[in-house]
Amino acid sequence: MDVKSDDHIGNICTVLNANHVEFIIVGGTAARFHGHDRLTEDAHGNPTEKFDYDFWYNPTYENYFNVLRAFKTLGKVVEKLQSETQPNPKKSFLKFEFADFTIDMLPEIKGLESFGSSWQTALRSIINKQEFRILSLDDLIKSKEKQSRPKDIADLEELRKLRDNYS
Amino acid sequence: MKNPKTPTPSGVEKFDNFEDLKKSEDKIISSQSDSDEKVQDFIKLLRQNITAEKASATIVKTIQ
Repeated sequence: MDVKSDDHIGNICTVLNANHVEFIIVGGTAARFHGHDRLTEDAHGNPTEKFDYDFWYNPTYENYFNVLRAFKTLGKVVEKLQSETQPNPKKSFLKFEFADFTIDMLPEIKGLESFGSSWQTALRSIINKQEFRILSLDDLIKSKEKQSRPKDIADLEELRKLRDNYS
Repeated sequence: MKNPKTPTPSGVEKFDNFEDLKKSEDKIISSQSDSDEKVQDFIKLLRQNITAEKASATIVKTIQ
């Protein structure tokens, strides 16, 4: 993987792995992985939202602090969060901003039973000995069924078509 | 009101729920082309390196 610094998502994932962060790639990245290429520009080619990567992290204390440690190595100022005496990882939705994108670390995904269950069914990809897990198409559809944003509803329709086409 | 283009000094924000986190991103603007290319590169790598035992029919078809 040709990566440098923190300007490439692959490098950031590698840092997460190096810090033993358990996470699953979800959201738009997972949708694209399964074949639903979301547009990031409008019909006129105007920029839309800054791309955000959604990662579902296992909301245990240990993993929560692993997340903070990983992003600290990427230059984020997390000391205040690290010093909290009683953090609640299950209610800690974290957003990390980078120049080209944001990374959202989510402790839960609506519509899905548990991190552990989805971890088992997630797809695995191994790049340079680094393992990445991507939310399964079935789980992605389940999660979209619980979302109400217009783009989620549009995603749901496309994802169901993908599943139907290849089942 | 916070300028949505301006990152927080720490580059980190914490929210109690998904909805508040997503609301904070609604108007963030950036140059998409470079970012989008990197997203596509990463997804391509993920697809090319999927482990066989979990490769669904969907992914196999997509890769093909």
